[in-house]
Amino acid sequence: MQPPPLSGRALRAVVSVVEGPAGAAAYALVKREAGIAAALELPLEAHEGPPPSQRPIGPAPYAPPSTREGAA
Amino acid sequence: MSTVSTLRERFRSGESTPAAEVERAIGALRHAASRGHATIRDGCFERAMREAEAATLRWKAGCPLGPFDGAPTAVKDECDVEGLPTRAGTVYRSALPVARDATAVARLRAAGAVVLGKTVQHELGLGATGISPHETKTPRNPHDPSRVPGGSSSGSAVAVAMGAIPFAVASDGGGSVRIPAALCGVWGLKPTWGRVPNTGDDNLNGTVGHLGPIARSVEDVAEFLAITAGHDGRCPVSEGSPDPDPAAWRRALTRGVKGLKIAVDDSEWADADPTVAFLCDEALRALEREGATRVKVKVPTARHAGGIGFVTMVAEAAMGHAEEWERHREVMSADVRLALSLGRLMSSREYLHMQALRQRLRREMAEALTGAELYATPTTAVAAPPLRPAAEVCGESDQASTNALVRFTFLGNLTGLPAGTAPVGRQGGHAPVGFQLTGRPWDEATVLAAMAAMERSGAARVEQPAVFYP
Repeated sequence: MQPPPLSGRALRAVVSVVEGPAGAAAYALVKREAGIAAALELPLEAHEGPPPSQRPIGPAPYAPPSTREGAA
Repeated sequence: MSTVSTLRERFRSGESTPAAEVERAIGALRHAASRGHATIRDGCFERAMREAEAATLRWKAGCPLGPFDGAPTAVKDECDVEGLPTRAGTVYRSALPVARDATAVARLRAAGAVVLGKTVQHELGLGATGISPHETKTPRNPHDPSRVPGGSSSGSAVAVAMGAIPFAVASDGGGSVRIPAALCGVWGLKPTWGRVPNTGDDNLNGTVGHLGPIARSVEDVAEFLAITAGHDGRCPVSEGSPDPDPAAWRRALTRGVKGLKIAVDDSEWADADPTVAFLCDEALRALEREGATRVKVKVPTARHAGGIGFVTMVAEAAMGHAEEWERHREVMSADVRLALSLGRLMSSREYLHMQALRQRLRREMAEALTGAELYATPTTAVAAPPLRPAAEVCGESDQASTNALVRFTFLGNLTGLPAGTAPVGRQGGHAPVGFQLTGRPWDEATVLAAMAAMERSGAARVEQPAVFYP
């Protein structure tokens, strides 16, 4: 079941909860609603762990077509 | 308002002048604002009229500056325009004018475009609905004022859709060009990551933001790309990008889709509203009739793009706007404040996990686009959600609507691939639906070719909304 839209006082109350001591608990709810929890549950393969000191994070610029070896 | 290409013909023939068209555009924007459809937050109408007079003289002398000479346009608030403030939809940023145009704006001006002002946007670009509780309020969807316009480039899309201007500058971190373009029934393009420099749009300082056009014709989308693309010597994102090929983009407009393979993941389409999926399927069938072939693919991680994108964009925004959150959160829209507050709670483990999934997504898309030139989905899973009056008090947080709006768009931001949206009809006769085509890296030409084929055949077209300024 989808959560209802929040506005006005209800939205301000949620902001207050998220910014308060119960923020982590509120974030846990959002994680489920926003599809974050499901993505975090996807196991990573051994080669997928990103050692950030060795691999760029984010969409590294694609090579120009003339030199591109693979699309990604 | 016509398209730029038709304006150009009218300027050339003497049927109209830039001064007349810019004056008309200003009148339309003012009239719309007086009726609750404000799209311009900070205008520069006097300067625009001076520039339009100069453009008129150039056309009369037979020496226009470039393809956009005398064409009125407007720029998303977060993108710098010399002489106007850059407030990115906030109420707390300086109202002092900035000294320099963003690169894309400077290039458009050099081609003759006349900037009328800065468009209303979802605050800090952190929202897909376009709801703005500040000053100008939310620009109403011109097809149905009871619905949101889509965001974050809300004002840009509404100004174009209601015919006030032929094209506008927008930006896209999770769908912010494509979502409002789709919900307002016009064309939009998010180019390949790095194709158009981000210089002068500090809101695009993460790994997902792109500048792009919203327009009333595919030709104008192509021309915008031709004018704005290419490294500017300052933007790290566009460094190393291939040289722009305007001739290829212009040729693409007439090359058709014969022989093209268009990849479809049926399980993705199943998440769209049935009417939305139906209208998009009709557009795809039209492309098949023109010679394209539909091929089945699987992109398993695509269904997680929303979650991956949410963490990526919001965590980066929380970092990028950390000082603003500390100093100004009391006057932020509550939904934007909530997003930034959530971003502060995200862990490095979560962020890095999502970046690993993002690389997986890129590999899956590379595979899908090995046997096909394009990948097709609806642009959004639903048509424009309702605009509730309560949302204009301090904003609205509607996760269900947000999930549906970014369901298919985040893919392009996470992979950096070029993606365009085509207006393929209206749900219930008044809620536009967008059809998204994603291309291979740097291959905007094929995206444009398919969009132009749909425009030519009538499978996609800009329809006249309820609020319209011809």
